[in-house]
Amino acid sequence: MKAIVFDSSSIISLAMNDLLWTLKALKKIYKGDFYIPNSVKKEIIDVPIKSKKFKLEAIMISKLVDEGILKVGKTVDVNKLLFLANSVFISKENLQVKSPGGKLNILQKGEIEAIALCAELNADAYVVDERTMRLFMEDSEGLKTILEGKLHTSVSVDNKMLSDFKKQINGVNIIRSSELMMVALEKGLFEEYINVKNKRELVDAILWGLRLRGCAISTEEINETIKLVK
Amino acid sequence: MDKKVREIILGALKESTIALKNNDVKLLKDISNRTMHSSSIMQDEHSITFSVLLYSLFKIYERTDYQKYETWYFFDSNIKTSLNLAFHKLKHDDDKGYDKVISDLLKSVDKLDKKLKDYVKDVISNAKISKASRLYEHGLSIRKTAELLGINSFELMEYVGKTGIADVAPSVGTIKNRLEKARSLFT
Repeated sequence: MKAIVFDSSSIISLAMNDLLWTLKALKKIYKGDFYIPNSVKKEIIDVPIKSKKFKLEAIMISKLVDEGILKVGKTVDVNKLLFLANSVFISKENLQVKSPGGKLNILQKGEIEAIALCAELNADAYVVDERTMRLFMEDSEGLKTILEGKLHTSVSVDNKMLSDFKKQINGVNIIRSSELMMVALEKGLFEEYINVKNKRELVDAILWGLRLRGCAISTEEINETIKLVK
Repeated sequence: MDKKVREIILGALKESTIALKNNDVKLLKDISNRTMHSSSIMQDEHSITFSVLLYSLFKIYERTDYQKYETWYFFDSNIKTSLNLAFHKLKHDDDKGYDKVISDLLKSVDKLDKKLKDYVKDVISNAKISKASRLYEHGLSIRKTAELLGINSFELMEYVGKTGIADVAPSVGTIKNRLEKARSLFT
């Protein structure tokens, strides 16, 4: 069965823009399964459902799980992957207190669980909106530049660790909720809104909505996407 | 506690005690910014908690209208006494004692009258999110950051969305290619 795995960041962007409904239709078009790891379920449903803030979003996401639109993947052991991932970036100075040898501990177990789930399911894509994980997978040099700029020290990439990490995850495709929503638009899911506003304005609204709720898409990328709208 | 973290917190405690004594809110802000930067780098729980506390204090002391509340005097004197005590505990390598002073200080907020308590709690909660966004900006992932600060990913996503962090555009393929890749999944 085909599969796409979602990180918490992409589900959060969709939930906070009231766009979760698109997943049902997209899943039908995709003819495969949409997954979230167990740790993501805990993060975006089990914990916020107990609070007042974001309880509504948690209930809405929970409905998707109940309906089978989002399946919850089983928990896998990710200690080795986590070790590899957090050994890739090495700072010249020993900066982080709990991470000796200058290793920069930038990713959390849950993020690695999502990636491990992608590998286990041989997923077609990993939908992730937050910047660090996406750059880690796609552009380690770009992330290195950010780390150097912010930490004010030189940072090196341990290419062996990076390649060992990538070998274990079979080079999964990365997409953001912004690209997913553009596909939804092209598939006619936003047809009723196009009657009211013109298509480019709708794209502008969707992309800025996602960006303002944390999707890491730059202004330049938003403008470029709008230009591509026919 | 790590030796470097101890030195930073001790220095900041000493300076902030002076800042509060002289009612120097600007100095409090400077100390808070410095501590925040080093805690973003070191990711140590002590330095993170302390930088959140300092930033909150700066935000609270900046607002002189809070001082009209009945329990302000209690709050103000408790802060000054606690920071002094925390300094001495840390100076004598009493890490547990230091942690207890800071934890009691945060708990003492509950003794304030309702309005002031709500304001202070709000300031601390916002300070955590603001601090978390700085960690994310420094290259840590959303979840790693949320875990370190004990906050919700929803709150953090919403906050970072309003900052310019996403505008640091990396060179990861063109938009056209990215859209092609997404389209190919749904054909």
